[in-house]
Amino acid sequence: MAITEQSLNWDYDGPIMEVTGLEKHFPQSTGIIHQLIGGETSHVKAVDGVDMAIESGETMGLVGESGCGKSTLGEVLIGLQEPTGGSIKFLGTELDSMSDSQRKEFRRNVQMIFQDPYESLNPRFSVEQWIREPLEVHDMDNQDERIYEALERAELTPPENYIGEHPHELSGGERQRVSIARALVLEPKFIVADEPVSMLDVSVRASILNLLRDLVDDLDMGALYISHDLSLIRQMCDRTSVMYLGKVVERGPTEQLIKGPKHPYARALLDAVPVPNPDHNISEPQLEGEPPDPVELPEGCNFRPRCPFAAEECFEEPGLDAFQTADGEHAAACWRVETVDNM
Amino acid sequence: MSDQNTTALDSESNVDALDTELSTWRERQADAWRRRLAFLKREPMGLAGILIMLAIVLVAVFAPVIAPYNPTETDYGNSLEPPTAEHPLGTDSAGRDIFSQLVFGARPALQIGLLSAISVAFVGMNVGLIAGYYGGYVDDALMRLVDFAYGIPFTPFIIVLVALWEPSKWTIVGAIALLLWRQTARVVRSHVLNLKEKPFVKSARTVGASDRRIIYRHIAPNVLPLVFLYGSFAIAWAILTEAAISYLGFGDPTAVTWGQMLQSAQQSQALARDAWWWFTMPGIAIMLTVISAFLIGRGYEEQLNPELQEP
Amino acid sequence: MTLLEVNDLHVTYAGDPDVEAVRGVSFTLEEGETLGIVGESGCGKTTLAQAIMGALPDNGRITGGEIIFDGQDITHLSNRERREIRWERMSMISQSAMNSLDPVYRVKDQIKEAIQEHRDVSDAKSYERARELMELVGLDPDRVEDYPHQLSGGMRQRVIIAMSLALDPDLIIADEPTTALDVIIQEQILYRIKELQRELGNSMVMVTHDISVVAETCDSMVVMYGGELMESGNVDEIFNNAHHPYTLGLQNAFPSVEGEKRDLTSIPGSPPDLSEPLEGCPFASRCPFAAPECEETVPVQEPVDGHRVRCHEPVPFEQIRDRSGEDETWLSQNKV
Ligand SMILES: Nc1ncnc2c1ncn2[C@@H]1O[C@H](COP(=O)(O)OP(=O)(O)OP(=O)(O)O)[C@@H](O)[C@H]1O
Ligand SMILES: Nc1ncnc2c1ncn2[C@@H]1O[C@H](COP(=O)(O)OP(=O)(O)OP(=O)(O)O)[C@@H](O)[C@H]1O
Ligand SMILES: [Mg+2]
Ligand SMILES: [Mg+2]
Repeated sequence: MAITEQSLNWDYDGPIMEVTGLEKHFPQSTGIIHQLIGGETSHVKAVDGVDMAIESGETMGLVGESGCGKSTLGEVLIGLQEPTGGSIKFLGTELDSMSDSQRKEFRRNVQMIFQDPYESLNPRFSVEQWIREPLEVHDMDNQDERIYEALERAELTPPENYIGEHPHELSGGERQRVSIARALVLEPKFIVADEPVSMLDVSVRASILNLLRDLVDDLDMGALYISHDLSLIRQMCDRTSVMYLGKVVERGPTEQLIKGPKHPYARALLDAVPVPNPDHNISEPQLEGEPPDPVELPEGCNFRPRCPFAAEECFEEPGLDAFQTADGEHAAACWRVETVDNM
Repeated sequence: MSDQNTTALDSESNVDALDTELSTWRERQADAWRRRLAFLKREPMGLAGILIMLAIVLVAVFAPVIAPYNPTETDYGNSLEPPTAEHPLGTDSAGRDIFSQLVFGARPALQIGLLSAISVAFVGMNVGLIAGYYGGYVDDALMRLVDFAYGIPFTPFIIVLVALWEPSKWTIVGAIALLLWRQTARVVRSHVLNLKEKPFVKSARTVGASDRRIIYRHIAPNVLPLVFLYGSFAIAWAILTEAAISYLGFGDPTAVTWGQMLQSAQQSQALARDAWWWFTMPGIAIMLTVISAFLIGRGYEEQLNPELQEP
Repeated sequence: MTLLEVNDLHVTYAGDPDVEAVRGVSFTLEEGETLGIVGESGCGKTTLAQAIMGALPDNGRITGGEIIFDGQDITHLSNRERREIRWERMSMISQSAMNSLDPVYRVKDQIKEAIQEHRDVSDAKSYERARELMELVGLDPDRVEDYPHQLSGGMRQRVIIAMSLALDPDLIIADEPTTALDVIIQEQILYRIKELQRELGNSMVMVTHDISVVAETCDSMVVMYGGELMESGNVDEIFNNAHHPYTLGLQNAFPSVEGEKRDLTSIPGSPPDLSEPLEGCPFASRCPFAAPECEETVPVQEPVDGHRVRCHEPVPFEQIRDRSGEDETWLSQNKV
C-alpha cells in the first residue's frame, strides 16, 4: 500500500532485496579484424542467472573464488552497474519501473562498503567533508547532527577528534570505520560489504565485523557480505550463498552449510580455509587449477570439468533445486549430493 | 578548505574540545604547507626559479617606480649610448632608455605568460577531464581534436593567426591557448582514466553524486598539481613565442615588449653598429624569465612524481 | 643441526626520524624446519626477513646483534660476499613479488636470468631448468613462453616460487607468499611449497599475519610485536599453551571454520611508534593485564623447553589465558 505514487512501498513485508534471473554479461573486446569480418562478440558472463532474496535484518554471505562474480553481483544490486538481464526488486518495486523520485529514494537507501580502506576514501577530503557529501547530494537537513551520529555509530568517538582528519592520518581500521559512517549517514536499508576486513589487521577485524553485525541488527537493514573466506562469513552471516562462475551453486543457513556443505565446490572451498589448529596439517587441495574464464562455459554443470565426482548425469545442467533439504532452506545445484555423502 | 570547521562550530560540543580541534587543524594546515614547500629545500634549482620569478614580478608591479625614464620617450641627442651612470644599460637608436624598456617589458611578458598558462590549464584540464571521465564517443571526438591540434605546426600557425587578427598580445594568448592545451589534455586524460576506477569514485557514485560533482569535486583536485605543472611550462612557451613573433615583425609595434626591443634592434642593425647592450639585455631578460618558469616546473615535477603515486 | 641463528638482532632505518623496526629478536632455525613469523602490520616482519636475506633497503642497517648462517657469522659481510650466499644458499619470495615480474620479458627469460646471474650455464640448459621448475610448482611447462600479463595472480606467484627454487637454496624466506590470493589458490600454493620442502629438504622462514597459515605449515613460530619478540616456541606449544596476552589476543581474534562458532575478540588501540625508544613492554599500552612494572622495564624471561615468553606475568598466566577469551577483558581498558 503506497502512500503517494512517488514513494517506495515501505510497508512491503517481503524481502527487502530480491533478484531473479539476474545477469551481467560484459562484451569482450575483440580485435577490429574480428569485428570487420562480422565475428560474434563473445561475453564474459560475470553474473549468469542469479536468484536471491534478502530479508530486512538479515545478512546474506556471498562466497567464492576470485573472479567468480561476487563484486559484480554486489554492484549490480545497488545499481552501480546496469544488469544485462533479469530483474531487481527493492521493497517489491522493480528497479526498471521506478520513477525518478523513487530511484532517488532507492539510491539513498542502498549503500556499499568497499574492500580497500586505502583507496576508497578520497585523499583530499577530510572525514567531515567525506561523510557530509551524501547528505549534500540528497539535500538532507540537520547535517551536522547526522554526521555526529554516524561517527558515533561507527565507534569513532569522540567525533570531534576525527572530523578534521584526512585519510592519510588514519589507520586502516579507522578508515574502514569512516567508510562505514559514510555508508550509514543516509540511514540506508540495504548495504553491500565487499570484503570489508580483508585488508585489515587481525586485531581489528573482529571489532569491524561485530560493528557491522550490530548495525544490521539495530537498524534492521538487509546486508550482503562478500568474502572468499568462509571463516569470516561464519562470523557475520545468517545465510550464505556459494557462487561459482556467475551462478549460485549452494545456499543455506551458514552454520548448516559450514557443518555440512553439499556441493563439491562448497566442500572444496571449506576445505581450503586454513584453521588455527596445529593438529590440522595442510592437506592435499581438492581442487586443481583455476576456474576457466566465464566466456565459453562447459555444457551442463559449470563445475563438471574440475569436479572430482563428475558423472554422466552432470552433462545436464542442475538447478539450485537439484538437492534440497526437507524445509527447502538448504539447497545445492548438484545431482550427486546423496552419492557423495554416502562415499 | 574553509568549510572544514563549521560542524564543530555548529554542534553543542564543549568549547575546549573545539578550541583544541581548531588549533590542531590550523597546525595541520601549516604543516601541510610546510610539507608542500619542503621540496624547495631538496630542489635548490626550483628555489632559484621561484626567487627569479618573484623578482620579475616585483619589477613588473613597481615598474613606474623603478624605471628612471618613460620607456617610450625619445631623445635623439642621446641615441645609441653605451651604458653610463645616466643610462645604466644604455639607449637605443631613438635615445630611449634600455633599462626602462626592460623594466616595463616585464609587464606584458608576465601578462602573456600568466594568461596563456591559465587558459591552457583551463581548456586542457576540462578537455582531459571530460574525455577521460565519459570515455566512448566523447573521448574519441575530443582525442581526435587533440591529434588535430598536435598536427598543427606551432610557429607558422601563430604567425598566420597574428597576421589575420590584429597583432596584439591577446592574439598571442589566444593562439597559444588554441594550441598548447593539447598536451595538458592528454596527460590529464590518462590520469583521469586511472582515477575514475578508484574505489573512492565508485563510492561517490554509490551515494548518488552527479557526474559533474564527481568530475569537479573528486577527480579534478587530484589532477590539479599536474595542471599546474603544465601551466608553468606554458608560461615559458608563451613568453618565448611572444618574443619570436615580435622579432619576426608580427608584433604590436607600439608596445614595449622584450621581443619588440629585439625587433627594433635587429631593424636598426644594432649588431653591425656594435650596440651590444641593445640586443643582449632583452635577450637576457627573456632567458631569465623562461628559465625560471622551467626551473619551477621541473622542481615541482620532481616533487610531484612520488606524490602522484600516493596523492 | 642449526641452520640459522639470530641473536638479539636490531635493525634501524635512517630517516627523519630514525625508525628502529627490529629491536632485539632472537631465534634459531633447524635444518629442514619451517619457522613462522607472525605479527600485525608494521611490527617489523618484512624488515627482519630482509635483514636475514641481506636485502635491506638502502636506509636500513643492522645496528646490533648477529646472524649466523650455517655456522658462519654473516652479519657484517660485504655486499659482494652477501650476494654469493643470497640466492645460491638462501632465496626470498617477497611480499609483492607477483607484481615484480618484468612485463616485457617471457617467463623463461626471467628464470634464465635468475639462474645465469649466479651460475655459468648455457641458455639451453637454463631453459630446460625453467621448464623443470614450472612443473615442480604445478604449472604447465609450456607456459614458460608466456608473458607475465598472460598469467593470473596465482600463476605469477608460482613463477616467483619457481625462481626462488632455481638454485636449490638451503633456506627459503617467504614473506606473505599468499596474502593477496583467495583461499583456494592459497591452499594450492602452500601445499606445493610444503611438498617441495619435503622433497628437497630445505628450511623455510614463513612470514605472515595469518596464524592459521602458521598452524598448518610451520614447526615453530615467533610472535612479534612492535619490533620485539613476544613469544616463541614450537607451534603445538604456542597454540595449546600460549602465555603472552598478545599471542592469546591474536588467537582469540582469529575466526575458524572448525568446531563450534565463538565470538571473536579484538585488541583495541594501535601499535607503538617505532621511531621512539621504548621503556618497558611495547604491548603494555594495549594490554588489559598491564601492571606498572610493565611500563617501566623490559621483561626478559628465560626459555623453558624452547618456549620463550617476554612478559612480566602481572597476573598469573592461568588467569590471563582464561580471561583473554572474553571480549569484555579487552574492552575494559581505555581505547586509544
Ligand atoms: N567492467 C568489466 N568488464 C569486463 N569484464 C569484467 C568487468 N568487471 C568484471 N569483469 C569480469 O567478470 C568476472 C567477475 O569479476 P568480479 O570482480 O565480480 O569477481 P569477484 O568474485 O569479485 O573477484 P575477487 O574475489 O577477485 O574480487 C571476472 O572474470 C572479471 O574479469
Ligand atoms: N625503508 C624504510 N624506511 C623507513 N622506515 C621503514 C622502511 N621500511 C619499513 N619501515 C618502517 O619499519 C616498520 C616495520 O616495517 P615492516 O615492513 O618490516 O613491517 P611488516 O611487519 O612487514 O608489516 P606488513 O605486515 O604491513 O608487511 C614500519 O613502521 C615501517 O613504517
Ligand atoms: Mg571482488
Ligand atoms: Mg611486510
